[in-house]
Amino acid sequence: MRILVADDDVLSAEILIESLRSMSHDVVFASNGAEAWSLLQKEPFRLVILDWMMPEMDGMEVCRSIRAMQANSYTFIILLTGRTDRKDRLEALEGGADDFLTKPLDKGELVARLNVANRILETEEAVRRTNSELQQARQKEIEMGAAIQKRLLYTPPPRTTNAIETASLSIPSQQVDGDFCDFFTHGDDLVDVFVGDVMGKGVPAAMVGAGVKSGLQRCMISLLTKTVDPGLPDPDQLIQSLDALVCAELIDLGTFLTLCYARFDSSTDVMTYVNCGHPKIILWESVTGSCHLQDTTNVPLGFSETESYQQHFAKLHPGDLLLFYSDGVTDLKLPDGKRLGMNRFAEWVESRAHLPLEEFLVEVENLRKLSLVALESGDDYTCVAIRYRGVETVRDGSLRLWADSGSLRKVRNFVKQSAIESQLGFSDQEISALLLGVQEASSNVVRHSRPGHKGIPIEIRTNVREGIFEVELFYPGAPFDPNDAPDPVLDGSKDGGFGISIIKKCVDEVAYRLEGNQNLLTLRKRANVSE
Amino acid sequence: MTITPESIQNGRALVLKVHADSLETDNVASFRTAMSPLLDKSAHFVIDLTDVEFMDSTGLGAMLSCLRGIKSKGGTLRLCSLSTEVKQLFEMVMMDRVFEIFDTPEAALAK
Repeated sequence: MRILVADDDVLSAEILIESLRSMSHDVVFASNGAEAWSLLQKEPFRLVILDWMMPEMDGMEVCRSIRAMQANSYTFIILLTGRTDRKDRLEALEGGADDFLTKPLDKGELVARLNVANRILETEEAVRRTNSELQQARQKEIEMGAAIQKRLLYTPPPRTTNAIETASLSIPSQQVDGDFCDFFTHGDDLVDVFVGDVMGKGVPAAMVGAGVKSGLQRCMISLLTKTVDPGLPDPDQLIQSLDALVCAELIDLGTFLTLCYARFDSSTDVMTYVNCGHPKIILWESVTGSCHLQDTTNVPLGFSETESYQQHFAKLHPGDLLLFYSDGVTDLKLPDGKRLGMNRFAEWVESRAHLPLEEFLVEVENLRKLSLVALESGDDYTCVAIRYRGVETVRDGSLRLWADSGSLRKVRNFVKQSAIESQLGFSDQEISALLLGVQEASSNVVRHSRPGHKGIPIEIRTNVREGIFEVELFYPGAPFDPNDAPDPVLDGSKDGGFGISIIKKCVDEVAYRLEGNQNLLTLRKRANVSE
Repeated sequence: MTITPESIQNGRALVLKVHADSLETDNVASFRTAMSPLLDKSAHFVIDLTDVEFMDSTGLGAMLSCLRGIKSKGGTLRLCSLSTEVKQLFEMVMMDRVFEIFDTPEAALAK
């Protein structure tokens, strides 16, 4: 063993060092307390033998300094003393000494004391190793829990389907949580999305989450394939059947979970949902530009075996944004010291909901960075954002869509098809002029009707009236009458300003008016029938 | 969008072919990005619009900004192979007077 000996009495030190070396110990010598302390700060010693009485720093001072130092391993301290006074010895033990050697040195006593020291140090070492193994095992458990959560619990919905477009953000807490999400797609126009949060933390919460998720899948399969009246169950039937499967077990386990299950049907433009105690879904309406919190319908699962689950409905329009989020979001502490909460979060969403989903989620992530994250709660921070697209096809002669610059082609194709089907006998040139007019009108709407917005919900209707082909463009936002626009500069010195004049040249009539809370721009083109 | 430099003929003008079926609000940013490094390669240009079936005023604006950039450096820009639809747009806002327009790349280079 490597031993530090500190003694200002050189003669007595030499005897001690000689004895220790004869027992094959490696000895480092310090001639006073200060020197011993400076050696100890450079290198840890498992065993230190200190003379009590030394100049500069006495043995007790060094002893106290060692105990005050944060060390990875234990240092066994033996005080060398001529004192036999009981009070002194008690004081030394109090100050952190482990044992004593009496001067003058007795070799037999030295051997015995060293054996004691060795035994204690070995025990201490064994305890330390076990602790570190336990800690590693605990860390491994946390990592496994995190992996379970990531792989089994968190399955974000597909990025695009006919009905919806989605993006999701999940920042796990330091600990493992029971947050989960998943989806079912039933054909092109029907998608179910659900998110849940199990009470509590750690691997148990993650396992309950995984169990409930697979329970939900089992319920879906059994309802789809049951012998009497099989078919796609309504969300309320599904949750009722899940409750029957898991509620008693959850109560037994002393836990519960919040769950929000929503179905998007683009053939009816309706979201049907059941919300069991989860934070309220935020619905941002693209037409009005305002947010609405959707009511919670039930208590969490695992609360009551007699709960009857209710589903609610929300009418959707193309471009509407739906948000599912964990309480990690609403529990954020803002710089003003207040909790964010659902209402304030909804207000915050209102001014950003028009952004493309990925950009929107970056904002949600930044919100967390700007906030005083409540470290003590350390919740998962998850948010699933869904843009309802609806069906972008002809329905009753109209096309409704979330129009960004990327969707103008769909508008042209729709109008082209309607113009051909109108059988007004338009020439190719007339049709291309019509399409150009529609393009200019709709790109103007996307760019200007809501400043800063990159998308807008628009509805395009085409009608044929008395030999006139009519394209109606309904959109929200700032009123703008193209008939008031200034004339363009035609000498090539300006890149823009042609749009309105092009529209007027492409069609025979441009009319604008307010229709309810929407703008309505009408383009009319007469078929040039040769007599 | 890609724009390929076809050839420098008679040591005069670089022919640039636009590979896109439209030049509009939706893709005008990528047109500008693809164009910008090519504008240093010559002083004289012919833009071949054979593939472009549809252009809107935003696309037209991008062409005008190319024209002004090239002219300011003492160069020339000619356009060729415009579809009926695209020609209609140019005529509508009288940009056929601002641009030199030819039926084929050869015709644009011959003059």
